[in-house]
Parts: sequence; structure tokens; C-alpha cells
Amino acid sequence: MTSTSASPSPSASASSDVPLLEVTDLSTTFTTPRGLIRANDSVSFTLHRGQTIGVVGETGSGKTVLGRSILGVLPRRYTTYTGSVRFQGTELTTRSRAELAKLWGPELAMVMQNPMTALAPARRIGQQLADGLRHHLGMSRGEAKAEAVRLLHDVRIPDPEQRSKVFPHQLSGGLRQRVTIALALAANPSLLIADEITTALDVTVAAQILDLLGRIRDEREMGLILVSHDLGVIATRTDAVKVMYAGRIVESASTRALFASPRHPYTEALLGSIPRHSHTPHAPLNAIPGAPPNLGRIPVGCAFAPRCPHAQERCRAEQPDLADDGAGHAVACHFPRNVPGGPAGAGTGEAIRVSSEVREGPGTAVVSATTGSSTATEGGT
Amino acid sequence: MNEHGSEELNHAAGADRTGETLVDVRNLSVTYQVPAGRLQAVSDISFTIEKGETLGLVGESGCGKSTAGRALVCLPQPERANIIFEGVDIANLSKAKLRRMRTRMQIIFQDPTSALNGGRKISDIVAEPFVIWKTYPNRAERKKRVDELLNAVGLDPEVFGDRHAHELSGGQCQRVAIARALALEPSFIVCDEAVSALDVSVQAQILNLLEELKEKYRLTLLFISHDLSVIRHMSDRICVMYLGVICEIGPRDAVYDTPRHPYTSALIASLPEPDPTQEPQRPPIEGDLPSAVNPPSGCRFHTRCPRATDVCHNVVPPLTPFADAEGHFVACHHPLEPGEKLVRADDTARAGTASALAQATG
Amino acid sequence: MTSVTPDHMSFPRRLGDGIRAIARIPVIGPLLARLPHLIVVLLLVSFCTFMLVHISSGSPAAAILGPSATPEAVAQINRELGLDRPLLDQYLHWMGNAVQGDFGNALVAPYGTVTSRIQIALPVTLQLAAMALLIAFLVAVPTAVYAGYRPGGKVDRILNATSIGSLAVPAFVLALVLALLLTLQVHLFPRTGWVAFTTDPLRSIRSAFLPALTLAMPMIAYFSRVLRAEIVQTLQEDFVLFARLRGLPIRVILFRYVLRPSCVSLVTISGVTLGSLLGGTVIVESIFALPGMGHLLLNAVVNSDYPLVQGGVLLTAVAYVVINALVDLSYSLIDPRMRNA
Repeated sequence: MTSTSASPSPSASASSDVPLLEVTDLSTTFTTPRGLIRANDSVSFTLHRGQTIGVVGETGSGKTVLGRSILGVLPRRYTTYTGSVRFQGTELTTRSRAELAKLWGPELAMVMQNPMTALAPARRIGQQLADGLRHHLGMSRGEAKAEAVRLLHDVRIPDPEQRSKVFPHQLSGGLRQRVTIALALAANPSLLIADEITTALDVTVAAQILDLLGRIRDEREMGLILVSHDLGVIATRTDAVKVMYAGRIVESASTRALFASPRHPYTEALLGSIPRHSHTPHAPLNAIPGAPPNLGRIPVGCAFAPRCPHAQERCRAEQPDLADDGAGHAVACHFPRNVPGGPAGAGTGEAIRVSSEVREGPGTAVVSATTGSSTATEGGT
Repeated sequence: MNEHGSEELNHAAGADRTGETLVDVRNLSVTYQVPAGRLQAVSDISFTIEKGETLGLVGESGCGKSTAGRALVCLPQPERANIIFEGVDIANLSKAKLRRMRTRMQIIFQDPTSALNGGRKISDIVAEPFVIWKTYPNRAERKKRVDELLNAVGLDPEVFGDRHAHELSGGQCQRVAIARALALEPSFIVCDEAVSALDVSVQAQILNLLEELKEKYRLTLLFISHDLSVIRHMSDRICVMYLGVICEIGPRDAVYDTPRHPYTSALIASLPEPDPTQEPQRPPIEGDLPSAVNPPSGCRFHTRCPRATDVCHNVVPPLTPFADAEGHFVACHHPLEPGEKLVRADDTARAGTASALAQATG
Repeated sequence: MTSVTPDHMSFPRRLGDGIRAIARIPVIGPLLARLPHLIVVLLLVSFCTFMLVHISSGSPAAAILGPSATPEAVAQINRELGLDRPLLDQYLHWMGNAVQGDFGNALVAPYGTVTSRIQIALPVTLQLAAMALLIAFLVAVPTAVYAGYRPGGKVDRILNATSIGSLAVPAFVLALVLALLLTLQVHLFPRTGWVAFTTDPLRSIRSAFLPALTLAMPMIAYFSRVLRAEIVQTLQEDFVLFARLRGLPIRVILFRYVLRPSCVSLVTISGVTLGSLLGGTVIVESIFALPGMGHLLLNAVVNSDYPLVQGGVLLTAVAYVVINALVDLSYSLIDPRMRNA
């Protein structure tokens, strides 16, 4: 359809050094009757084509809002964005809703958590697919119908010809999630946000869906943001991870580095709180006391401080910035853990203070020297 | 599964363990009437739970695990089954006698916020069983006991006693539900997806609490979950269900480390371990769960099983004992060898052609 | 009314096969399944109608003979009409004839059979009802969809204000205002008079337009408020967000994705409304001098023309029952999830 080409979106031939998505200091604030809620606070990251970024967090961490902020789909009347979202080099936050809507489908797409509610109940699968194809690709009724069947085949739905004629409620949960993937990918987007797409599914079905999504990403060279609370899914299906807590990214690293040496006490505790294969049955798990904070009442200082076993005075007074160690492992903590060159715990406090102060400038040499070993371990990714 | 199997099972369990049997379930079936027909949620299953142990019941949606758990505490009382609990067949008990037995067994549900009346005070919710059973007529004594219980589940009675359930987080609500379940000093608690709705960090708190309370109050648990890693952590024995029947049951390590049933193996393989150094495996089985209204013939797993043959189509595999561990029972015609991995159907075909090719060229 | 057979299974085989074939067509199958139920309801309704009219209407003999009739003459008339026989007997006799389409003769001028009188009045009412419903849908649906899409917006506020207004104004005031505005000032439509559809469709529609509009005004208000509320709810659903994120134009989303699942209440109330319209709309018919069912029944009641009252009321009841059955069945068309239930 002409609308796609008319929009000021950059052409697909944009050179590879321009990242697919560049989020800088993105904050999303909701105006509610009870006051302002800052659902995302100074979120920054970069995503390249063919890459998968995992966003992990618990209830109220702002991970779902992040996906919707990037797409600009939150209700405008109550939502304020600051910061920047650049998609293939062009700014999205300043776009009007109508301009954004032209990118939804052919450029940006999303798959949601619950396949039971994401499909229109009174429209046949094939028709729903054809609606998008006719609008975006200007296909005729017949062409769209044939293409719809092909798309269902692409997401490995058995007997796609027959299945295109049924209503969503006649399909199982796994098949429905395949259909939503087919719908999201129909117009060939270059960025897909998958928000908790396996949470509502059974484990054996979830594994198939993740497998499918990984293969499609490789085939199409898409950028993928995988939002999940499931550390197992994040560990095995992503290249880099952003750990979110109370609306902020508290740790960001390559997936291997993050799981090998989690630096934020929250990340460390999160990994300790799940019963892993190596964990002795019945032995107490490393539970985090308390519950994640309500986004409307985020504590002063570090939001994790009230639950953190290593918190000190400073943590309750001063919010730590997300500081990169020069090797791509960033953490927002005054006293990070598992930093090479120092044992975990209070002793590392000194080294860390350096790294959080050296963000721009002279201390870089010190930091890169201390992180030499971690760079080596990240070589695989 | 049949009478024979259940006897063998009891025998094996009894021979292996010193503990006495607390719950003995024989030939439990539960059928619902649904618009599409009769749904047999649980089909003639038999198993035992020993005093002091935790039996983990695992399976995917529609496997009947929750139905079985509820039937065990007679919610509702199952028909034509025997559930022998502390020596009494509660499935064939009069309403009045069953009511008396109910103090001995409790159930904790998945959604703690809807299981509690949000408008009531926490102390009143926990005291409710005492009011119903008129156990502590003395007000001061009752309050003392409620405070004990709240302390036991890690809630400060001074802080939480006068709060209302809707002011509490999910984890705190689940603590209140546990306190209420403990009030009448039961010997047996069914935890039906008790941590599934909670955040990971909170889930660990509740799991630790349950372990602690189990020791303290000498409880026996039936722990139901779809999450195999949680099941492994909590259980002494694991029972795997698929579409209303038991596929495999046995000691935790035998089931988890050397699964014999292809479905158990697939379930374990589908569970991603949070370890990025492991390559994600392709899921060993394809397809969705069939409808429980019209379950497949023979072995119910045969429609998705890469090892299925003709016999699986036609013959229901009996639950048979395996020698690798006492009390390890598997219902499969083609069980895996210990340590053998389940291979995808298309991979076996590929491997076959590859080896044929290698033979031809070599 | 034509004869109905209680159970299609008792048909001769070939006919039964045919019916079974028809029964496989969606909607008709469930309708046939409901047939026994419908017949029981209709029998009950007819009996109640009969009893009610019998109790409430004055003496038919007095209506025929006038106030100065002698007791002998009244007895004579009663005997001729069969009114001296036991009630149940009278009912069965009446029902037996009614099933064959014979509701007896009208007692008061212009006489004729009840059937023929209804045959004249019913098409007028049917046409009025159909046009009123059509106007109401044509205005209410787009208004409600837009108002629901932008709750609190301009269209929504105007709808809110006018709908309260038009529901509050009595029908006859509305009718007079419309008549004044559109016929005397603009001369767009004839003020009174009726042209049958079969005589001249175009002129017929023109002659029916004003009364239909009068009937439609409160319906528009009612329908659009009900539909708007459901649209607002449906728009909160995940599938709407997902459809937007696929870049579908809002027009497509509203009319192909949102409208249909939001129609349940609208269909329910339009069924009820249609039923009441078929019973006649006395005030509107009087103001515009239309020979419809309302007019017919009103005169029959005033004149104690009991066969006419009975026939008219039974017909209205049948219409209600049938419309309700159709409304029930239409739910499965609106929401395919209900088909298996």
C-alpha cells in the first residue's frame, strides 16, 4: 500500500551501522487520579537486526509498558514520553498517532501474552490475516486469501487451508499463539516485541513456540525484544538481557555475562530464588524478602534497597545510575556484586564507586583493566 | 491403573519405605458434564501418599492434576472410588462424618486474592475455622492462637492482624491462606498451584515457608504444579499425569534424572534451565494436547509420541514397576533406557538416512 | 396461521428426509429443535388471550344490539355466537378454527372476517415497523460506534444530550413537531393519508416516512446508548489493541472487529421493540390517520368486538414469541463461540 512508502520511514537499505532501534533515556509517565506514575524511568538500549534482547522483570517492573512505549500505543491522553526512541535512525516519540500507525505492521509488530484474547472472536482466522494483507500490501481479496493460507503454513499450522476458515475459539492455545505470530508478521516487520508470549501456554507447547520464533527471526533478520519473567526462557533465547526493576533497567549485559556473573543484587537474588537443576531439593531457596514495589510508590534512593541484603545508607538516599564497565556490562548499583578483581560483598564498594563515577571520561582505563576477564568470558556471544 | 496395578503399587511403596501410608487412593475417576460431552478429567488412577512425605503431581493443563487434588479432599466427594485417609474411606463417608474429617485435610489454591474475602480483617479470616468449629470459645485464647499462626507464616500479628485482605500483596495473601489452612492442625495439605500466580522472588519465600511448616507441623503434602522445577524442589516422589492418567510415578531422582516415560522426558526437555551456555534444544514433541473429551485410544500420549507404534494405538499400557528404583512405575510400551534422550521423529529419520549414507559411502 | 405439526419426526419418510436436509442449514436446525417448545408457549398464550378477552370485554350482545336490547334478544345472540356453551368448549372451538386461519367474524361495522380485517391492517403496521427499525439502525449504529470510539468527545456529548431529550418527549408531541416542521414548512412529505406499498412503492414510502421517523426517534436514542456502552467495553479488549498494532485502519477495526461482538444487547432490545411495534402504535397511527393494527385494535376494544380483539392479540403474541426465538438464535450468529454451547 502507498501509505507505507509515503511515510518518512527510512528504507530497508539503511546501512548496517545504523541500529534497528535505539532507545535513549526513555521515560514514560502516566497521569492518574492518584498522581503521576513513572512506569519507565530513563531506559536506554540498542537493538540490531537479527539480535534478540531479553527484558526480564517481575510484576510492576515496567517491562510491558516498555514494549508499548516503544510502539507508542499507550493512550496519549494519560501518557507522557520523554527521551528518544529512534527506529532505523528516525525519531518515533514525536510522531503523531496516525504516522505511527503506518509503521505498525510493516515495520513494528507485537505479539501479546494471551492468545485467547488477542484474536477477534467473531472473525475467521483467514479473514483476520487477509484484512492486514489487503491494507498493507494492497492485495486483492483472492490474493490475500491465498497468502493467508501460506502464512499459516509458515508458522507450521497443520492443514492451513482448512484452519483459515475457522474461528479463533475452535483452535487450541498453541495454535492460536501461532496464528497471532502469523498475524504480527504478515506485513514483514523488522522489529517484533514478544510480550510474555509463552506465559499462558503449557511447557511443551511453549517450547515449540519459542523454537518457531527463533527460526523466523533468523530467516527474516528481524530484531526481537523478548519480554518475560521466566529466567529460563531469557537465558536460552536471547543475546543480551535488560533486567528491569521498578521501571528502571538495573542491569544490562550479554546473556552469558549476566547469568555467569550477575552484578546487581536483585539479579543475583532472582537467579538464586528459582529452583535450578543444580539446587539440592528441599534446601532453602534464596528468597528475596518483601514484594516488588508499587510503581506509584517507589522508594527514594535505590528502589531495591528495602529488599536488598547489602543495602547501606547511601542506597536509601541516592539513586544509582546505570554505569557501563566499558565491556558492555552495565549495572545500576552502588555496591555491585561479582565484579572481577574483588570478592563479592562490601569490599567491592570502592571499586564500584569508581566505575559509577567514570561514566564519561578519565577512569575508563581502570575499569577496562578490571573487567578484562569478563570480556574474555563473553567472547562466545 | 487397574486393581492389580494399584495393589502392586501399594506393595512396592510399603516395602520400600518405613513410613506408614497416610492417603491411599484407589481407582479414582472424576467425570464432568460439559457442552461437548462427558469429560473424564481423571480416569481410574491409584496411588498412595506416605505420612510425612511430599508427593509432587505434575502435568500440563487438562491433565487432571487439580481435579485429582480436589477429589482427594472430597471437593466434591468422588463416586465409586476409595480414598483411605488415616484409615477411613472418606470417599464413602456420610456428609456429617466427612465434615469431621475435613479438619484433618486442607487445600490451598492458586489465586490467593480470590480465595480470601477481600473486605475482611486478616485476623478474622484466620480465626474463621475456630468460629465454625467452636474450638476456642475464649476470645483471648482464640486471639493468642491466631497470633501464633500469623507468626508461623511470617506475618507480624501487630502489623497485619487488623489489615484487610485487599491491602495485601499476592505473597502475603498466600501466607494468610496458609495460616488459615493450618488453623485446625491438619495432617495433610493439598497445595493446588499454590505458587503459580506469584512473582519468582515471592514464590521462593512461599516455597521456603511450606518446607519450614512441613517440618514444624509434621505435615504431609500433595504439591500440584505445572512447573517441573518447583515440583522437583518440593517433592520426595513425583507423579506425572497426562490427560487424566498417570504416566510415571516414583522417587524424585529416579523420575527426574532417569525418566522412563517419553512424556516425562519431553516435559523435562521443554523446561529451559536458566543457563545460556546450553544450546536451546528443539522441542522433542510437536502438537498440542488433545481434547480430554475425546482422548486418544490406547496410550493417550501416542498422538504426540515419537516412539509410538501400533501397539500404542490399541493397547492401554499398564503402570508397571521398574527395577532402577523402588516404587518407580511407568505406563509405557516403549520406555526409555536410563539416560536415553527422547529424539524427535524427524531427527530419527534424518539420523537414519545419515547413517545409511555413511554406510553406503564407507 | 397455518397448521403446525408438533414433531417433524412423525412426517412420512420422504418429507422427513427433506426436513432433515433443511435442518442442516445453520439457524433452521436450532429453530426446528425449538418448535415443540414454541408450540407449548403459543398454546398457553392463546389460552390466556382467550380468557383475558372473555373476562375483560363487555357483553358482545349489547355491543351488537345497542343498549335497548331485550333479554330474549341477548340470549338469542349469545346462542348464535356460542357464548352460552362452557368456556373450555368455546376455547377449543375458537382454537380449532384459529389454527385453520379462521378467527370468526367482526361484530361491528365494517364487519367482514377477522382475518380479512387483519390482512388489511397488518401490512401497514409491518411497513411502518420495518421502516422505523431501518431508520433507527441507520442513525443509531454509526452514531454509537463513533461515540463509543471517542467517549467524552463531541459526538458522544451530543448523543448524550439529545438522547435524554428525545426519550423524555412523548411520542405525540414529537409527531406533531415533526409534522409541523416537515410537512407544513417544507412540504416534503404528506401530513396524513396512506398509500399501500403495492399500489405505489415510492409514494407509499413517502407517506410512511413521517410516522416511521416519529417511531424511530426514541428507538435511535435507546439503541445508540445501549450499543455505545458495549462498544466502549469491547474497545478495551486485547484483540482491539492487537488489531491496531497490526496497523489496521480504525474504520476496519470498528466495523469488522468491534461492532459484531458488541451487538448482543442491541439485538435483544430491537427484538422487544419490534414486537411492541407490531402490536400497533396507537398514538402515531391516530395522529397520522393510518389504518394499522393499533387503529384496528383500539376500535375493536372500544366496540367490544371480541373476536377481533382476540385475533389481534393472539397475532401480536405470536409475533413476540417468534421474534424472541429469532433473537435467541441470532446470538450464535453474532458470537460464534455460542454455537457449540
